[in-house]
Amino acid sequence: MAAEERIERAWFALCDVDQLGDRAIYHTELLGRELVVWRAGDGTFNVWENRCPHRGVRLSLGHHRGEALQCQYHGWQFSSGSGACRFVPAHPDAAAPAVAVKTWPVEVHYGFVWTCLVAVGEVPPFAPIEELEDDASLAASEDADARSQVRSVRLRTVAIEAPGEAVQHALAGYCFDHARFDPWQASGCVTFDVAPHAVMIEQLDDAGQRVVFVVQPARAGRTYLHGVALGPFAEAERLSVQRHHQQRLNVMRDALEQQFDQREALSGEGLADQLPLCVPQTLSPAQPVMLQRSVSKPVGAPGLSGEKRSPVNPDMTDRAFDLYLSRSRRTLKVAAGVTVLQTLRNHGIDVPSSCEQGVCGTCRTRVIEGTPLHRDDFLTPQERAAGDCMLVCVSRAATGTLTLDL
Amino acid sequence: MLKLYDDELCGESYKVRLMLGLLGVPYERARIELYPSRQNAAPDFLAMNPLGTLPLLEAQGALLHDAHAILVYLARRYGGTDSGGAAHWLPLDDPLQLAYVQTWLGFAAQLSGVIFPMRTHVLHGAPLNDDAARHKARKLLRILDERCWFNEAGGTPFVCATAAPTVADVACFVPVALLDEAGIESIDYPALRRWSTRIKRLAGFTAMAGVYAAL
Repeated sequence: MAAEERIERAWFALCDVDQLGDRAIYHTELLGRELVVWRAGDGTFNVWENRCPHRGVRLSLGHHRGEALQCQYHGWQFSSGSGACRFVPAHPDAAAPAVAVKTWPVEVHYGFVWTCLVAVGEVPPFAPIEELEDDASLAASEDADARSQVRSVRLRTVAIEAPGEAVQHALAGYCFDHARFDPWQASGCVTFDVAPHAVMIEQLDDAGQRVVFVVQPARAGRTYLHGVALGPFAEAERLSVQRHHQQRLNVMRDALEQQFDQREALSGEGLADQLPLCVPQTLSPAQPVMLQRSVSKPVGAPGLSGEKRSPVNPDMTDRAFDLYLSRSRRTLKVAAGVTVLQTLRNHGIDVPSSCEQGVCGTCRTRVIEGTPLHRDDFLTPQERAAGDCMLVCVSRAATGTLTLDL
Repeated sequence: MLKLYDDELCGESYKVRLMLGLLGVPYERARIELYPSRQNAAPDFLAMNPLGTLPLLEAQGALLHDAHAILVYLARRYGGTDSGGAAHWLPLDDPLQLAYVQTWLGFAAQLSGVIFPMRTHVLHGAPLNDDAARHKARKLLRILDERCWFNEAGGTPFVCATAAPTVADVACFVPVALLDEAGIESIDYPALRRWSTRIKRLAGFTAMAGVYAAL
């Protein structure tokens, strides 16, 4: 999809690890993708697409089950780490279906959970932020004195209704005062870019106090800003530092938002002058997740659904075949290892889809000629045998050509 | 026995049911349907409460209206008085804490006054100045989220910066729990989520349609 081309191959901070205690479920957004972040009982951090593969409901509305996240809608449970479905309450004795939540890479650095929205295998190495490394190495030091002295303070993440670039630009004018914590006065500061999405601000006095901000572009026109005030600070100073920056960040946020509100009012076209970062891929009206025919589709017992499925990765031994679209009278070649759905998208033909794992039934399409090779968990045995419809996200062709009603 | 006149889907009524549940007080319920039949505007209900508002509590031979007034009454009557028990719901012995509770009850009234009409607008199409309401809601929710974040950072995670909940937590919780039904995204308020989860894990937490207990 076009939207995917805009996803930057970089690591982004999502949240402070301290926000993930007490079985918390953290809902956030990055580049227009809704994410759910949580930490399992064994300490594993998870960054998942915020969508149950069954009916598309937000997993952030669900429950933390220790080693799994449970969807609020039908109670399906998904395991920490793999995201694989492990239990379906409606069918307690059946094997769990071979579906998984979409998972994203996770790393933890400097007290934040980071992710990168690219496929496994294309994940770039985490690029360290040197200014935060010193602090991290001292905090992990063997020397108890060094540990107690050096304490950086993570700030409250601030949500700002302005694009990431604008927020990063505005930080050039940010200043603070760790000596007096006066909300109205601040000494002169200078700003450096320390990474593509991170800036450091240093006080221009002898103390040379520093704070590093990391930008999380949430969606078009919305940004989350994470900050670390570099120590040393005593534990007793922590709240003062956090409050001081909160006040200054609120001022910056309000000024930025006013600027963008005015621009919006002037343009008359709403968000016309803000380029979208990416088309939101989450619960959109085009994906009628609540109105499916088979609301509590039983999970097939193993072996019952006929052909063996390979839901997540297309089997590389898949044969290529031709796809004839009867309405548009076009013939497309479906290559081995590429799904019908992807082939259609590559040619600009949009078929509604949701789970893309053969579970939800959203992409069900009528077959006019040829025999489909069913690989879904959705159709009934009768529907499979009739062969007049298929789920184009996972199923393929048993014959050389397949004619679809598209 | 207490008798509560309420509507299952009314936010103000839910505040009182939640408090009764948290205190473990048994009560009778009489349903007054707000929508679509508007039983609250019927003469027999107006005879009990001329304002026609819900909830209404019949207690000790009196009729109490205004959810926050009822919360204070219930906390004082059933929440224990001295240091023991559940006196934390209404800290009468601490002048400053008592003032904070009043402050945040007032805040909860403002927040409810924005969120509940937005919810009625979404659910029943009641008229609303949507832009103004959204702006006001965002302003209040940012203040409450920041408040909850700093309360937690200071080790006193409830609204009045206390270690145990007060009636102000109950009053603020309900509009926050119903944000989704008011068409307001909660994604920007992670500290509200953590604080709400704390409330949802309290013993005696009472659910309502769309608001569930947390594990």
